[in-house]
Amino acid sequence: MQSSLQSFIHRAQVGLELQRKMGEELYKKMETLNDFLKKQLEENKAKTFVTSVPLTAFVDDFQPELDPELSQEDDIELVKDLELVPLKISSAEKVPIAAVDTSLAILGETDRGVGVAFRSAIVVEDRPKLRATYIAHLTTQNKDLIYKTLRKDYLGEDVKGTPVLTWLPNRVANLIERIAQRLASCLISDGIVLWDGSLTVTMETTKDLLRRSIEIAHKQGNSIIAVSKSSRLRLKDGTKLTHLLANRREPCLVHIEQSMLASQCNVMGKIHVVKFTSDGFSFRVDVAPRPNLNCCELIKKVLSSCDFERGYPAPLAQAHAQAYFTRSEVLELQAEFIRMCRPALLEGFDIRRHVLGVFGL
Amino acid sequence: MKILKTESDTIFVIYDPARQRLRVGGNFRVVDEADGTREEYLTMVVEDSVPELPGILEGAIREEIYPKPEQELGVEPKTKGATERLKLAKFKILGKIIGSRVRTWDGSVPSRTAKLELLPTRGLLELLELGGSLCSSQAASQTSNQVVKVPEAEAPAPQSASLPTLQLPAPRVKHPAKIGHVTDEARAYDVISSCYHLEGINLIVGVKGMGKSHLAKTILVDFINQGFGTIVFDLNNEYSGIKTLVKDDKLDVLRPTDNLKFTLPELGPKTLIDIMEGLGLSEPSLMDFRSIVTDDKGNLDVKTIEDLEKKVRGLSTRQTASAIQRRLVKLKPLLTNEEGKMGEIVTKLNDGNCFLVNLRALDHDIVRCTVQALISILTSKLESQDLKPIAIMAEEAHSYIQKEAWTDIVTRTRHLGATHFYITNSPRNIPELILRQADNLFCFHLDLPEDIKYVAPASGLDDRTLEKIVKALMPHQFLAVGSVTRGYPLVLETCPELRGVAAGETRRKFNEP
Repeated sequence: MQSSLQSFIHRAQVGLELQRKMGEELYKKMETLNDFLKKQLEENKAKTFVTSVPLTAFVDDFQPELDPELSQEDDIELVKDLELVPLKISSAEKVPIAAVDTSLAILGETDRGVGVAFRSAIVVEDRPKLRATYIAHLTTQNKDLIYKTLRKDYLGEDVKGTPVLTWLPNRVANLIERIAQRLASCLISDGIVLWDGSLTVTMETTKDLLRRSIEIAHKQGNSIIAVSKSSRLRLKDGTKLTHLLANRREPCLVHIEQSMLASQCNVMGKIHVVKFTSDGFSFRVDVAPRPNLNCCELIKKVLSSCDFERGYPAPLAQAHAQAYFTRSEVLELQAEFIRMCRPALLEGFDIRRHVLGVFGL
Repeated sequence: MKILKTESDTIFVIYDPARQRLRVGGNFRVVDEADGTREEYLTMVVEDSVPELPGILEGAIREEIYPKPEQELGVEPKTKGATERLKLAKFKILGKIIGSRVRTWDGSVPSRTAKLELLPTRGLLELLELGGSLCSSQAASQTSNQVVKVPEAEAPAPQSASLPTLQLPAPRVKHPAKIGHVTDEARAYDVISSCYHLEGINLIVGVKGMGKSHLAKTILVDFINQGFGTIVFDLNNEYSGIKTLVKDDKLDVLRPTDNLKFTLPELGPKTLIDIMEGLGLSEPSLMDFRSIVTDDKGNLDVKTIEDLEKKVRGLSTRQTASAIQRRLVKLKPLLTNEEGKMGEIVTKLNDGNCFLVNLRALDHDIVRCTVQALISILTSKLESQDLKPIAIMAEEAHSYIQKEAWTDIVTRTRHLGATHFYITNSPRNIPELILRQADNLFCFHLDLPEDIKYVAPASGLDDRTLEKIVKALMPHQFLAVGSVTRGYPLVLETCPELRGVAAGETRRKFNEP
């Protein structure tokens, strides 16, 4: 494993000793995470297991923002009077690009909790660099240990409390994604790391956590750009942020940050709405630039440095595809969970079907 | 292996090819003990495919458009790739196994909990009450009346280990006929039926080069050894190679215009008129021809070829005389005034001899006249019972017998004791009536769905099932179904010991690619 690690970091690093060391440390963390989760699974074996039905309902790109309890975004109000900046491709502005995404699959319910699988993918320069898949058995008995270990030992963050089991799979997926994002920051330098989502501070993704992740990227000379496919932000008049550029044909962007109220500034970067390509959709784009770099220039660099799929950065699309669990893979992971735990398999029970009959399907 | 669903007599089975190998044409025993009683089914694999599974499309797209990650971390399921590897097979229920015999399917189907066991060759032969013997190349010293005990070391594959140890009986039949060869994971067997089950109408079809003639020769050798008089219309002189496999005095080669000629009395007026009709003589001219070759009672009225020519020249209508004369010129090489051959042929056929009629490179009219003359004479001998039951083997018969005449011959002679073998790579040229009356079908690989659909009625299978089986047949493999297999379709191979010995000779300009 040591040789594969060295080879991996060697291929990725660009000469900075600090980057090499940090990259090795984060790679080892992603590697040891499997042993940690496996140990927890063996110590908390399930006695019964009901597979998720239907599978499609549980296989998804995880979206921590959807959790209403933790997001503070709804309070943000924006004002109009926005400056439109046109975007043009310039070959001179090409920079290295890395992209990260993470998926979560609920494998099924057990007598003690839930069987889950996580997968993170890192894409560097259009090449899938790393994919890490984990299986975990999250129970009321081990939830504190797993959550705290991930936060404290893997991300160096303080722990105040552990979420309820219902939200834990999303929380753990979020933490694993943060580790992967930090590792991605060590695989390029003087470039841009693309995140799926936003730089919004939540109770889960704290300011400190985000600040530390941004610092790691900046130390490698990288900036962070987070691209959200959907956002609930609206202007004061109710216009949805992602609809701002709906009538624009040419690639362009608008700054949102200066229009925000200072007291509600809970985003660790500057908010933009960007239409990268004339044939694509517009996205909310949060930018955490390296010191002395301009956000607009960074967005232009993204435009010049990678391809786009319907206006969405292709490295992020590929990271999503690499992280995505196909239903066959979920079947195989369920089989692996069963092999590891040897639980009794129970038939799924859907009370809706029993109570509502054909109308409960 | 797991039953997914059933549709009529078809069972859909999901299986992992890494754990279970199967081939189209292979047989499985399906044992269902779901309701406390034991129900067993004899099935045949008719299709092998991949199932439509959720997630396969996404996985395929991802693999196709993106490269694989340089590094994979974390858990790697032991079953990784298993769902992509899974296959879907269709099994056809051939019958129910009751006791140790196969009986007609009663419409019931096995439950999803049924177990599927690969049926080894010897088990299958036992069930179908067919004789089997260790392949002669492996057990040359075994005699056909011995019971061959399969040694422990040659035990079949694990799937069949639960079957009771069988002693494979050698043919119990009085007149064994080798119909093919079959190999399973344990060893190879010759499959023995009886000449009795080969009597009737037999069709051997398949595309070129698959082994049709080979199979015909295998059967022919046993016919000769069993004393079954046989006449073979050998279009390419490829049957003479079997000389080395039979006694010298049991096989004769006839060459039309050379050692096979007919006297006018042998042909008789009816055959003469039929031949002239076959040569395209018009109806009015045929009337005149009939008037000069027959007397008032319908008997032959010409003794020699010269007599006939003289009478033709004497016809009042010059055009008719000319038309008949032109056809007589074509026919003349087949005629003789000397002692005819037919008496000897009939005697020898009654003694169980075989005659190969070498038709290679002969003029088309000579070929047609020869076949017509021989068939006509032999039919009348069968009718008069001067001739014992015989077998007629004809390769590509449609090229020298018209469809109507062919149907007529078969209809008239099949009840008089003539056994027919038609070997062709153009099955749609076989008259439909013959196809529907076929007692046995030996179907090699066929490509065209129209051909497969056409022969399906002779197989007892629906055309879609037949298509799935015969398209999967490799060279030298064939589907046998009919009396010889007790009505159950069996995929067999041609017997290896004849390969190369009896191949047809084709002259070539180039001897290598």
